[in-house]
Amino acid sequence: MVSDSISDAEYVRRLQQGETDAFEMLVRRHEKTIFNLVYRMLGDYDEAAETSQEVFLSAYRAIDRFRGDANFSTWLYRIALNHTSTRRKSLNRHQQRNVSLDDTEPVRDPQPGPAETMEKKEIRERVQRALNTLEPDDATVILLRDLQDIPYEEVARLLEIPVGTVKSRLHRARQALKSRLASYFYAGRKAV
Amino acid sequence: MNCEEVQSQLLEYLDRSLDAITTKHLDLHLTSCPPCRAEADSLADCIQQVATLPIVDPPLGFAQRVMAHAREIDRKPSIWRRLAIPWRHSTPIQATAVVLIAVFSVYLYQREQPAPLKPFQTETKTEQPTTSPEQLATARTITPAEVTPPVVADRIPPSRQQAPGKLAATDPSAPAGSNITPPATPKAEREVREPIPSQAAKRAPIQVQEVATGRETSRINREPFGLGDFPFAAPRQPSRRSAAPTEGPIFSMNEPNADIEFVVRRRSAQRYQAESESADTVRKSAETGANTPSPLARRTAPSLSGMIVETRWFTVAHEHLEQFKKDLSAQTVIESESIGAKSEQELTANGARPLAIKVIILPAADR
Repeated sequence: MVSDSISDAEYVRRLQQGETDAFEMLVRRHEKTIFNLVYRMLGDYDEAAETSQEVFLSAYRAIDRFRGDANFSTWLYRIALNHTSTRRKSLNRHQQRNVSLDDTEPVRDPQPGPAETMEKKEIRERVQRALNTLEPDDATVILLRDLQDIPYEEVARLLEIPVGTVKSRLHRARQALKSRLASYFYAGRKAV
Repeated sequence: MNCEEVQSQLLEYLDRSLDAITTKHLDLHLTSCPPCRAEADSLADCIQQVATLPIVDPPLGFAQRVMAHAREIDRKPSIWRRLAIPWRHSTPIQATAVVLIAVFSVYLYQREQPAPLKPFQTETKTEQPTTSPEQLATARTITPAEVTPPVVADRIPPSRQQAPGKLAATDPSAPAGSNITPPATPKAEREVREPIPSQAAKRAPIQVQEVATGRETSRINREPFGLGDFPFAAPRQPSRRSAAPTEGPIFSMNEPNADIEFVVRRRSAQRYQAESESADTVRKSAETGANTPSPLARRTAPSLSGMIVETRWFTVAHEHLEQFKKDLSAQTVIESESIGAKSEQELTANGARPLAIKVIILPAADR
């Protein structure tokens, strides 16, 4: 079990001293956030599982180079974004990026209660597709800020850009997402 | 507050990061401006939809799989570690192997390499012809094919380590007059490659090929500098030597580029001892300090002290250079040493190649 009383920095220190089990604690602590970020960026559950595994293994290989200048989570996010960006480009090249939430999410979603309506399900699919059609930078900043609820300052450190740039990029990304969902929202409002 | 100001602050408004007064101003504008209200609502919907995307669990056993791969990484180091770790542990073995291979290569090179120096064609015209008629009669011209590879003296059977004259007299298989042609001019030269048997016993011979461009005598065949014992065995092939006449071959050659050039002066006493027909004469000359030139000096440089009387060429392995210099200084007085066209660094870098050493022998200084 993950002990919340021990910080990431302590686990990292133990790992750097050769205690491999400390890495398992870090994986368990961050697996869900990293997996969801990767999943929402790629839109494919299996690709997300494979890419997330590579993210953690890359972090494990490079842990000796982590000097603690940033939070471990920030460092891990950077690795995840790098891997996701590379994978997303590869998927785009091979035109294999297909959102198949109908097949995957209902099975693995921890809260796919029977009361969930088809409308909500359709909303999720449309939002996911819209995210996947955004520019990677726009999708990244929306997911970090609106899905992961990471503060502007942390997003700026993670993306290594100024806070003002984060805000302007976020505004631009939201406008782009809104334009992709506009027809649906009109229809939805009419339906409601 | 106009629409433009509202649009510029809509991001912070939706994030609820504006102060209360600004938020109230924005609320008032939005209630009275349907376009701004619609824009704000649609953006709020986008944020809401993204924020309410369900959190998806990773596959079951995700952490275990990651840890299994991580432990596999520990067991199987990366390609760089796999290359680096064995190198770290086996460095002494590999270094030793490299040194042994290098030494063996040099040995093979020196053993198998034929004499690199080609027969020369020219000779200085400033020297006086001093070869006696007897020497000219027995001299022969050596062809390029007869230039023999260096042979270490200790590999020559003791029975063959004797004076050329004796060899010629005792070896019945030597074809009389074979390979012997009369010298074309009195300026012909003689190859000097005769080890002294007693030298081989004193010191392990160093492979040196000596080539003479100046005028030589039969005495020089036995003593490279004409000054008695010299440890560098002038190599020659036994089979060739057995067939050779009493005197060394005479041939002319182009002067090569010397890696190192020595200017040495004979030591008077040694020269007298080596050259004088009578020890008493030498002793007398030494005691009286009389400037009596030796027979060799008379033949080569009859009057001018300091004149170049002999130019000798040697090929010496790089590692034997110091020993060569040491022995040379023991035999003569080294007046100058100069590096040839190549720099000293180049000579060091080309250590595998034998050095071409030119020795200019001056007559002994007057006493």
